[in-house]
Amino acid sequence: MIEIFHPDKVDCLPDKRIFLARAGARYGKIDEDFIHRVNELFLMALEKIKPIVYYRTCDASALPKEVIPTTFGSIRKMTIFLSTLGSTMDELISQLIERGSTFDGFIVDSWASEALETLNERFHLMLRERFGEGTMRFSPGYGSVDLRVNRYIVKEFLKVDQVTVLESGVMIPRKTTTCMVGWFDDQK
Amino acid sequence: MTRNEFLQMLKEKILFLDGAYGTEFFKRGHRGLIELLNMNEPKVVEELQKDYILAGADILLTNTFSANRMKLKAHGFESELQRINIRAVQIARSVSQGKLVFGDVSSTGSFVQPLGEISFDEAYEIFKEQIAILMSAGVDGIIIETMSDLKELKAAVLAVRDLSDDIPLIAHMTFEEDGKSVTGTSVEIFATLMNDLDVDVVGINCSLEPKQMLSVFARLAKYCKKPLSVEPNAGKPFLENGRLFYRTTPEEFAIYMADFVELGANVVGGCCGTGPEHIKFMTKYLGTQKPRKRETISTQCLSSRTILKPIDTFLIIGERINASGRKKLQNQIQQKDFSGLLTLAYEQEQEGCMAIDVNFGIEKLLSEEHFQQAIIQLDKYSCLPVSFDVQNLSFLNVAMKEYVGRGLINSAFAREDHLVERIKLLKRYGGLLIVLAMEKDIPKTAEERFQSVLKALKIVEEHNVEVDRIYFDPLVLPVGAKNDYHVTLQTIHLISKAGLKTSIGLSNLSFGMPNRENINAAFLALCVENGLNAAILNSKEALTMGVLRGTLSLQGKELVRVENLSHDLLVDQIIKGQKEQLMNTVQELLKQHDPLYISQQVLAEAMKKIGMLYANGTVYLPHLILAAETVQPAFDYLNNLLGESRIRLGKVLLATVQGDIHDIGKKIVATVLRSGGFEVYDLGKDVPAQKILQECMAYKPDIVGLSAMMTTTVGQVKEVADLLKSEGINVFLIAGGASMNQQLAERFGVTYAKDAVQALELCKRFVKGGVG
Repeated sequence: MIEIFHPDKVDCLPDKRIFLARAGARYGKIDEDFIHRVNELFLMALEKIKPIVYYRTCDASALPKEVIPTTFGSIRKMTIFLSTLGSTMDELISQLIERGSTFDGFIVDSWASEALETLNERFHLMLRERFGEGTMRFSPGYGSVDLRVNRYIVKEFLKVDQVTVLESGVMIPRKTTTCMVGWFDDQK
Repeated sequence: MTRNEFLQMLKEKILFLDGAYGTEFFKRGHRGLIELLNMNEPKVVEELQKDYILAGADILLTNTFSANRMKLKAHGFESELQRINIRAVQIARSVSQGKLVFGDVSSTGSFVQPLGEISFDEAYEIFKEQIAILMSAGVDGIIIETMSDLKELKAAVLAVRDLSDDIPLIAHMTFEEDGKSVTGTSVEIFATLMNDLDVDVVGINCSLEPKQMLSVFARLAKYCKKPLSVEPNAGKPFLENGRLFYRTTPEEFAIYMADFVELGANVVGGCCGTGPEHIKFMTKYLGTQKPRKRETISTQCLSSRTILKPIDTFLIIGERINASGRKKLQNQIQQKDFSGLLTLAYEQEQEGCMAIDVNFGIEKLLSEEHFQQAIIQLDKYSCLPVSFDVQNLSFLNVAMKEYVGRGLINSAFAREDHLVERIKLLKRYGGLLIVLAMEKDIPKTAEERFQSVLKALKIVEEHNVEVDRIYFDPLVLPVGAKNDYHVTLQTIHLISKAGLKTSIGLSNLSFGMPNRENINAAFLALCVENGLNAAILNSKEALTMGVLRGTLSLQGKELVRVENLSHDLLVDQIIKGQKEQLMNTVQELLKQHDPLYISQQVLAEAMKKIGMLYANGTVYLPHLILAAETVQPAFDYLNNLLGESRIRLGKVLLATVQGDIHDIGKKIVATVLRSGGFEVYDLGKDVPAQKILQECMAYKPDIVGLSAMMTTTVGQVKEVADLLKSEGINVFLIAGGASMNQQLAERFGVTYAKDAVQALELCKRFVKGGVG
């Protein structure tokens, strides 16, 4: 069964230290004007996001082999989820860059990447609450799982219409990820 | 909870305070004195505190912000003091789920003398009474919040510590965006005094929203060596559909609180306008974090209420307030006439001193009141930091108690009994100390003097006083009495080599000699070359001051140049409170001009300049109050000369609105308006709209000024405005106070005055036909 989770925005608030590090800045060393500017962009981005998570859990045996990371070993079940901040985030970043605010666009892009990661981490913790001991969270494009399995995950497994998957496996909206977690037992 | 346990918690994680009470109760439909809810509707308090616990607060504050005797008395509930405070602790404890409960304490509602009407001791007793109740009811700690007057805060801190050495204590002040409190104290002055006082956490709250508060907090974090706390407002309130809202969203609040943590905050929470949503967002976003390591400035400073003097380059202490052998000054002091003292203080400031030594000499003829009044007067006239050259221990205690800032004790002998008594005062009131390199008799050799220094150093360290707060005096003896000045130089050298600081009383060297200035100057240069750090000297000696600058310059150091505030004699006289000199100037002017010209073209212009100095942050509230008080007798005198043709710009009726007992700001406005030529009728505080209407009918003012400090009472301004309008009272209506702002004023149909200077400007423009 495909389920949907509508996160609160607070579930997506990225750690400033980390998203500034993504942008190449050290939080503890930046001056106050920079902080104010970053905070303005933070709020602007937070206002724009429309986070949503689609997920489905099934027996590992029901999944194609190429979708299951080899490192997952003898799992019984697997949850695959797609999280996205929505197309409004892509639009905001494009608008900023098109009007010459490259810096702002760059910061918002870093912010969004980390916001999505924060959401994934929060959601993973929620799954753990439900399923107990499991594997690490894993995304296609790493290790043994090819990025192109996104097409199967998005269109066939989760049946998400509003996300486009390119031939390469890259997804649009850009701030979208798919993740998988394997479970060793049934629900807690 | 012990202090050590609390300090350990602070090391382990960032602690979350709760949010606002007054504004949140207001949002939930409750009006009036919110502390009464503890008795009348405890469920309401309970619900809010439960919400804060659910939001993730680690520390709940008791609903006792205004529950001190003075404020309760103003509302007619003095007799309920005990019950209100005890119930507040019981309620908080009942919902705290094991989280900490801190007793919330704030201002008496009045500044302490000289800015306000109550004495230091009165303020101290009021705080002690409330804090004792909170402690006996079982709070885990005390938080003192929203203080604008450093002296009042000091009274509250001492009250806590005299009740318990072991209760955790958080001390907060409130600052404007420029980092100064309305009483002119900078955040650095606050931080450096709190470093000395026995508080556990130092912080700021209220007045500013997070983005405005960040730079003020950054300054606090640089100067304060203790754990830090912060509670910003959620912005200024605005009115929509008859309800008050605050601009700062929970999201914005939370992301800024992360910045405070990054700058070094250990305890974070919210003040006016914040509610459980703000706290929830903050706790969820910040999660469990360890406090950041933070570097602080190691520069030592002396301070008065409004002046901070970093003293690392060289400390120049003016010696001329010394009544020994000066009959006129002695007599003045005995009569409690401090005009001579103030003139000397002012002169020495202009000459480049960084602190002034105060030595009344004739202590046997004086009482504690002389010292108390002298310090109050110096504070009122915004003088330089003080060096207390006071021998009698109880007089020294009184002087330091009354003093606002970080002064210098001059001096202690290097023997245990004498030194320990002064260390106790240093620890209680803060500041720095000069220790003489002698125990009872003056050692003859430099090595012997140095041994005395080492003995004193051991005592200082045993009492946990930072060594860089101590100057050692190598002893300067008159060369005219065949004393070898080399001994002093050698002692300075030995002390400096040991990494300690030295200070001398310079003029003693040339006592009884001709050409004293030449000798003093030459010797000072030699001392500086040997490592001297401070000198008590006669700053009138231009040669001495010049040689000092030159010697320091050769060492690559530079003294900060003295700058006059205004370069205008009249403005200086008014700002410095020199009533006599001002009257002399007026008398001189009267020989050439008529009274009307002097009143309107000279004095009024000078006041306008002072208003501008205040507006651009060059002078502060104490200066402004003092200026208004100083100029008033001159205006009165000129008006008497004018008789019936005297200037009356207009009649102003002032009132603090119903439910609000804050009176200070309105009184300052009254003083400034009077000094500006207006006739002022002050109705006082907590004045119902109907009463204002009646008085308007009787007094027939041109202008009505309303004050509202609290968000819970600001709506009364609209009630008054509507009532006057509906009754056809045609007056120019201005309003001010902490809770007012431009947008609210527009909604209420009144004109906003952000401070007394702007109020005067608006009133003047109105009578000229420019506004209203």
